[in-house]
Amino acid sequence: MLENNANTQRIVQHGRGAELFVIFVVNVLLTILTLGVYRFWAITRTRRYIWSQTEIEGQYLEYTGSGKELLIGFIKVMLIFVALALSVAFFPPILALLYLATPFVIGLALYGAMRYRLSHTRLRGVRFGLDGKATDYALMTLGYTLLLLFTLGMAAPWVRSALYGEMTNHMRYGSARFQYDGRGSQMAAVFFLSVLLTLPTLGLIWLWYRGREIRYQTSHTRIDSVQLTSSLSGLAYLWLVLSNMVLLVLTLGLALPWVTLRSLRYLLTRLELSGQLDYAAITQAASEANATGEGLADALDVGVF
Amino acid sequence: MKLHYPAQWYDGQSAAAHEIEVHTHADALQVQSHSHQLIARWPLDQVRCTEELYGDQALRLTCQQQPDARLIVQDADFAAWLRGRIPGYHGARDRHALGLRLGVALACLIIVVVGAVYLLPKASGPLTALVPQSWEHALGDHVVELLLADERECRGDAGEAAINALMQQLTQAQGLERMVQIHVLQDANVNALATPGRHVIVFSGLIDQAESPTELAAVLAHELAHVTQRHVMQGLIRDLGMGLVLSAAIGDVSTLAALAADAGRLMISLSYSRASEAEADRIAYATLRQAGISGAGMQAFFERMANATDQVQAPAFLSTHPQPAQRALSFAQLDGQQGLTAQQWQAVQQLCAD
Repeated sequence: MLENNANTQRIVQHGRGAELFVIFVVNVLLTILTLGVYRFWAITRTRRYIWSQTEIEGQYLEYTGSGKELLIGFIKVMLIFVALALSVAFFPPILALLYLATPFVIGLALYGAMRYRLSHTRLRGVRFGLDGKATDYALMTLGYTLLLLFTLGMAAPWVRSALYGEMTNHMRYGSARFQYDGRGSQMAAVFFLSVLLTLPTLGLIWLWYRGREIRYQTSHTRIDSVQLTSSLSGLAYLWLVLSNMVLLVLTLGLALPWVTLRSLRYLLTRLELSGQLDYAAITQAASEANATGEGLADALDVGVF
Repeated sequence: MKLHYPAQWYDGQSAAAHEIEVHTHADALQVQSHSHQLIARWPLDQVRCTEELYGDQALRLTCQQQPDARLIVQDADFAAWLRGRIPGYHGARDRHALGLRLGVALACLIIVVVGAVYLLPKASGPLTALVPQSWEHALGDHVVELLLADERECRGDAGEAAINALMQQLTQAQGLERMVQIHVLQDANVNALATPGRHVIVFSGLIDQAESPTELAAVLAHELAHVTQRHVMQGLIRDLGMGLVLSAAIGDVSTLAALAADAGRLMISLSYSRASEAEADRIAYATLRQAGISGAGMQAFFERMANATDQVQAPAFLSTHPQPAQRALSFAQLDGQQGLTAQQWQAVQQLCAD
């Protein structure tokens, strides 16, 4: 069933830029004609294409989210925002409280959006999912943000590792669990080197750092008995991001479909899986989540993937 | 035509694959094990593809009565048979003949974006005419209210009377009935602005810098033209419309592309705002002539501004206003009165003194 040249590559992205571009153009036209309302369906159609062209060991991912759900999630969040704005108008001190709560709300949004996406992703008919409470993750985000403030950002490797772990350890594919066993201290040396080199490299070193971080986090993640390993290097990631920027700027954004698929392919060809999943033993477990978290992430403009 | 095809079955309870046969019936698909045991019977009108199909990829089917189960068939004959028999499936998209669709899509996109960018600014004038005056007034009143909340408005009977008298001359010269309200704000900026509706705001820095009443008269005539031509409302409609089109075109997916598009939008917006300024200058010139006020002040004022901004002169295409040096010339030969008596001018100058 594996048709790709790389026989060892077990997750393959088959999408084509031109096909995604046609979807992209139709989305743009309909979004303009509907004064923006279509964008929830546009997001859905794009995801459905990308998911359905992602092959994992002979079978393809399926996205079951819908534009209507995204719209409802967005409306809910807007209503909450309006209520908050009104409460601030009547009682201004609430504003200070809202500022303090910002990291909490961002945590809620990230967790909720991830839960929506995973619970609407299927492989072999079985849903992915995210257990745990979004409020726990949000409280962690709030606490760690305060820690970052007190340490002037120097706790970042530990904080980022802890947040990634909190999310990953609650992720599931059916009854198979994801596990993260990385430790923040192991990224500390790379982090402090990046701090030192920030000025000489005009900040570009942070792309290199992010590449190293993706490699470290991925390589300490397992799904049941399958260990993930990434061979992404810091420089490779730096090149990916910079070349994507150049492509987007030169084409005024028209290259977006190609850039999206290229990035996925770039990361997937550097991803290795070792060990076998016993698919027969994986049972359907998670239920579908609503899109309020997605709406919140959308309204706050925080990206998950 | 075969009546049954090999296929894969996922029962929705586990991720295990089951090799099965799918039998085609007139109104249903029947899923059977190789030992002819019936696994499921799906009425065709409830069967759906899970996504659009491209090339020779396997058909992935689901059924509303069994939403977790999946039936996967990789067979060209089956795909041909199913075509048109279930809702929403009209065959796979050809992966090789993409060129034409791609070309059409690109052409559509370019037409829409160029059309929007080109037509929206042109349409902003007629669209503004559709906005009721009362809405514009309400918006303007609100803007002024917000501004006055942060800045101190200079009050003084003599000064206000003088500046209103000057405005009266200009309004009459333009043949207008309605009164425009002037607010003088305590602010060192050398600036004046028109809000939507019926307000003109003058910063005290401008009065301090002005060396004669004709300079103030020229600025007021210019801002008055913005009010009567509803330039602010036009700009608002133009910017909102283009923002909508471009954000739809680029999406919120890529911050970088959005920045590039925003830069383009700013350029277009600036060029139209320079056109509005030039129009306001033209009307101001006619107004001053009608009112019999000298244009010398305007000339002097622009020249001083040109000198002051000499070092940091933005290129013409990056500026909201025409170049000061270019503006002064047109007012050079306009003779006339001062517009205010010496006494009145003193009252205006002292409006913000205390």
